[in-house]
Amino acid sequence: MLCVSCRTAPPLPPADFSSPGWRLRQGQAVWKPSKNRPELAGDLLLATNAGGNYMIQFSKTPFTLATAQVADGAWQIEFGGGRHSWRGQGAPPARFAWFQLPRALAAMEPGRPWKFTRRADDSWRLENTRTGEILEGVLFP
Amino acid sequence: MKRNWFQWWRAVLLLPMAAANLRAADTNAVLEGWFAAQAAVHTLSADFVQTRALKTLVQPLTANGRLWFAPPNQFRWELGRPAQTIALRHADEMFVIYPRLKRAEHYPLGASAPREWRDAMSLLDAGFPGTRKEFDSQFQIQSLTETNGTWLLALQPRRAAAREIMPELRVILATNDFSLAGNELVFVDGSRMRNDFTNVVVNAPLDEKLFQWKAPADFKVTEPFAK
Repeated sequence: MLCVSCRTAPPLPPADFSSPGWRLRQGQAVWKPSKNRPELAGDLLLATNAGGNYMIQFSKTPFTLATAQVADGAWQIEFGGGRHSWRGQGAPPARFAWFQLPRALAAMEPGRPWKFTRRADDSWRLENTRTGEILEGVLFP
Repeated sequence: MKRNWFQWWRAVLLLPMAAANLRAADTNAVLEGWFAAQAAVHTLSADFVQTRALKTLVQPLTANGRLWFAPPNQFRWELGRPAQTIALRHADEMFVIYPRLKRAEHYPLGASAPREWRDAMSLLDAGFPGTRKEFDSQFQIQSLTETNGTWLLALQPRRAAAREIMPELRVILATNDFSLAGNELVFVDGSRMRNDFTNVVVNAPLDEKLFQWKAPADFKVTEPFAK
């Protein structure tokens, strides 16, 4: 399904934060892609708007590691600075942490097998209990 | 290098030989001036503004930071005030430190380090070349232009693997003294990251401790490339 979507959906336009309703937040996170792979720390950028569109980017400056975007019913995710990408229409695939985190931070329950925990110091942890993928971090005030 | 440059200009631009020769000579003179200026740098510190133009965002992102550098390869980059990320290199190892996360990553940089990582480091070091020979082995000059009191040197990594990460780098030098005014990295997806340096101080004493780091007890230190 992902491959078909990849061929048919056009790339999403860049997010324009000067439009009304956008909120841009920066932070840092540690990403462990699966239980057998090493964790990587990096910088996090999360932009959300009142209409439910969002863009999240994880980078180890200057290299972008992952970017996920949802805009007007379409989704797009890229890894390795755009070398691997998937796009589609409708709800984004639940298996990507990068689509789960903006929902969880907006107090929406992540779908199984994802587990989201918010700590007292305002940091958070998102874990896929099946694959061992973990994303934990903090957004700066 | 000089001959390749001359032949490229002659073939592509079909300029008369004298004109092409002059351009090659100009490029060579700027490079020689840059390397001579670099050789006189024993320490350097500077503030910088980092501007990232990402293909996913209409507006660029900016951040402030500070750099300390001691040739041949000691550096400390602090991004954000207070520093949110610190990249610190001393001898054949580098730490990337995230104080807010209480995390750090340790990267060995010697000959045993992965080739891809050494390529990436050479790209990031492009503004601070060691020797002309080393520089020529890593980069091919694409163009040299003079604008607003600066030389803009556009470089292409010679290694194909490096070009897959970063097809072009730009080094910006002051025309009056060949000091580094900025650099710009162009990524394969079209994103760009530019550093503009200000308050540059050359050859002032630097505390050796700037380039050393010992993990506090509550920090977790990982080694992403460890096997």
